[in-house]
Amino acid sequence: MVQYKYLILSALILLSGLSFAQETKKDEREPGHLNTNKFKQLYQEFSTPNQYRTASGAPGHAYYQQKADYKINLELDDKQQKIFGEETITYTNNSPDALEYLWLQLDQNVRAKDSKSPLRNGDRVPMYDDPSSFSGKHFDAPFDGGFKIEYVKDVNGKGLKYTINQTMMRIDIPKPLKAGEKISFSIKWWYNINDHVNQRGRSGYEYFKKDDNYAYVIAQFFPRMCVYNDVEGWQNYQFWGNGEFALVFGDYDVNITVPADHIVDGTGELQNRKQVFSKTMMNRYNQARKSFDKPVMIVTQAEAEANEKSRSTAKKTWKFSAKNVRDFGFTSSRKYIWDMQAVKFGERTVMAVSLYPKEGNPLWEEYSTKAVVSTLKSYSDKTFDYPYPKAISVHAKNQGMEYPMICWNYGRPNEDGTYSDRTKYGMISVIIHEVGHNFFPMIVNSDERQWGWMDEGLDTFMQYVAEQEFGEWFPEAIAPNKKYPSYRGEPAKIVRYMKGDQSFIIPIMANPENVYQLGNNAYGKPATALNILRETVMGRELFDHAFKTYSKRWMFKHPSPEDFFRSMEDASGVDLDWYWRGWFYSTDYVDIGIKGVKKFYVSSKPSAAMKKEMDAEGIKESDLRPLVYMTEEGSEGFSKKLAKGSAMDNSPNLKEYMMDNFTAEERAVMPTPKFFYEVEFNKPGGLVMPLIVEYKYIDGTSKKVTYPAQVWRKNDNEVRKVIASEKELVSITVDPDLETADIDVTNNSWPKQEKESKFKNFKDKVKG
Amino acid sequence: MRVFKLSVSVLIALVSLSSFMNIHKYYVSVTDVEYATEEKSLQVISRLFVDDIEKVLHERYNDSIKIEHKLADAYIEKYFSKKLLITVNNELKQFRFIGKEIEDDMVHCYFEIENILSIETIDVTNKLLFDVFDSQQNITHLKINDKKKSFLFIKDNATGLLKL
Repeated sequence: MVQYKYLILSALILLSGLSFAQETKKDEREPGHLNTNKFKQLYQEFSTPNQYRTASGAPGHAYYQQKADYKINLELDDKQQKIFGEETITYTNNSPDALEYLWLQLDQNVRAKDSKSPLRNGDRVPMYDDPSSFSGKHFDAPFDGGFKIEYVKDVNGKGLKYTINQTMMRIDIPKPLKAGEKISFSIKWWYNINDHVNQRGRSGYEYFKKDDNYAYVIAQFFPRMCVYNDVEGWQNYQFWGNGEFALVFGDYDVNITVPADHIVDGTGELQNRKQVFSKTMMNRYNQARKSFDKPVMIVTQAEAEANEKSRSTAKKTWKFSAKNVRDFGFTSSRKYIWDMQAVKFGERTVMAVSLYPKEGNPLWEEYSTKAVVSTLKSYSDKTFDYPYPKAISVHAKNQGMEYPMICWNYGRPNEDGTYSDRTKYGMISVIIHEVGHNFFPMIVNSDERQWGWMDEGLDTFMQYVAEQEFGEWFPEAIAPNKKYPSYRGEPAKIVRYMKGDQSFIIPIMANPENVYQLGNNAYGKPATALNILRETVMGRELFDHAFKTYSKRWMFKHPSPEDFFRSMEDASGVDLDWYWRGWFYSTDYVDIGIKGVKKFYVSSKPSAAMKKEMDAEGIKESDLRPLVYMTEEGSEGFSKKLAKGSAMDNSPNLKEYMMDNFTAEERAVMPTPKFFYEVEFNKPGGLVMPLIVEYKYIDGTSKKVTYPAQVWRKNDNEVRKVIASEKELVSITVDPDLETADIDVTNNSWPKQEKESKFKNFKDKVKG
Repeated sequence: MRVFKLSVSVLIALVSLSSFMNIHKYYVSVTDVEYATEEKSLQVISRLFVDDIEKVLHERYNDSIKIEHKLADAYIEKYFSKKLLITVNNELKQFRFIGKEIEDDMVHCYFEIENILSIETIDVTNKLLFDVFDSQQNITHLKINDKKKSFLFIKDNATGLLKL
């Protein structure tokens, strides 16, 4: 009987870690439920691994990808702002499937007169309107954009049947293209170039009224093959405007004919440099290839300003060749200043290049190429050595857009040459971001049409890392700042988004056409999530190795989200399904707090609370084996004497055990905790995160403990921890360094700190 | 919250076309109006994009206004007094401009209406930036005692009322 009673009591003691309050009776039996544990593996959400994509996140033994090679002849009409093109595409079917037709992308059609893209958005009649905006909406003829396809022919010049569905074109081939076969065909087209400053868009022209010149940044200028793969079949989801591109790797030979006084640069290596460069330019170029510490001017500002006045009627053809790229972009203008610097990767020399009109100076000559070099070094260190021969940053007003080896970036000083810090850091950041896109998605070629975050999120995360390194490498460039003022990446910067109205938040795992706040959804949140993963959850060593593993595995391939998630876990040995589920598949937010703290002392007698339990079960103290009892400060049975004595003073049972089992010498070096705290942490937020706690003691010392996220695995709402200490605790703070994007820090401290309101703080500051 | 539902499509329309989102191309501001019980004052913090407020001040007043300068304060106060109207217990109140601070690409403007002993009704009209951007949206949060209400104001619906 005594034994039985003892069992009940030990069960009670064990349970006391949970809660006695759960004894409240329920009238009805609760229904059962499915496994909703936040640490459950993502079997439902993830696609099943197969021979194309393994469970470890690597390409499988049967992984394949298609190849599309392009030979393009292009003419830029600077008088009428038109592009005329003709291309021969050779498409290789490396898939095991026979293809009955081919799909191509006609991105320019998003600007066609009959485009459905503007029609998908609702609008309203405003109470009043600006005359120019009104006339633009209701009087002006719509811009005549979109590809005008002149023909689609096979290699023998015979027309191929094609069907255009908005921004997609299906070519019906005479017989299915079998596994391993190639097909070549030609397309001729032209289109009107849009004004990218006033009509927006990812490419187009900017007109400079003062000197009557155009600067072109040209992309999506040719019919491009869609991706065919094991994940989507043909990726022919329409281009509505937000979801960017899914593209096939291949080799490009592109001849671009422009007015003879234009400066041109683009994707790939220039094949006829001697024909298009002057002798001076050639000499400077050869110097630049050996200049590893600073840029060399290929075209100076004075030369560019002289060139602006020229109006050559002659033409020049610039010939580019690019291997293993997924796209092609180029820029052309009379206005360009041009500088280049060499960067070494192993035995290879890569050129960091900038082109900008004089309107970009003095900012651009100082920072553009510097930022390009810095980006290539930072990103290469975390992924793989930059494999292409060059990386170009072109200055185009209001732009921020990436293509293989070339990108357009904003950052224009005022007309008098002054500029604010906002313009300067905006410009450096956009260059780092867009040059960084060479890695994601130009080389690690994810499907942007479906998953905006896979390139934008990874790139914005890397941008943060690269910006911080830029600040470390060029302290004089960021003075008086001590660290680079990054706009995104720090956990605190995402709080406002994550605590926002849930009706305007959608999980990261969503198509970019359907999200609210694309900037926060596809850029800021995934970047911050990865930064927290690196700094707080995994640590830099494990994260960096896994991130590099993913990058190398999928370099020049087409990864899907699972390939990223799985690689990160596979290479680090850290189970992260809970993290992906919370941050990527849900709109949950972090909010962890301290609900209460209880203080206990060791006592010789059972506490009043325990006596009550014993009475209820009919157990007497004499029934029990020698035990160490705990009494809460301030509870019935607590006395000041308890607070004065040590644990051994207070409990003869403990003292006897210690003296029977340890020598005096052993006892002398043992810690002798006197204060026992039970801290109750609660979690109003849905995200599980590591519980980071700073304990401060009365003698001024403190210790920081990080309990793994798994501390929440059996109770998603609250968890208690016992702190045994020789010194009294004076305060406890959850997430003291704001590492977790906790959206409400008013519940993060004990004793509760009355946080002064933001308003009052500011008012006091203004008063001085 | 009908205002909210109507505006979902508008919000989608505002999402940028560009690949780099530092250029904000959606026009939105956030204003918090909170009653400080102890101080007996209404405290207002408005957050606007720096380039948006600069644009409106340039167009309305003076091309050379630079938001980071102290000189801009008088213009900010003048502009807010026309566009942000706060009526407490049916009486239009004047507010005092406390100051501003710039954080990233946003400017935070602080205003205060003192000596508000009690609030039975408060109504807020927020027409900030409607004079320059058709698609401007002003999210306005009211927090009076324990009551909270949020509005999303657009050009033809810029007033909201909270009864205590």
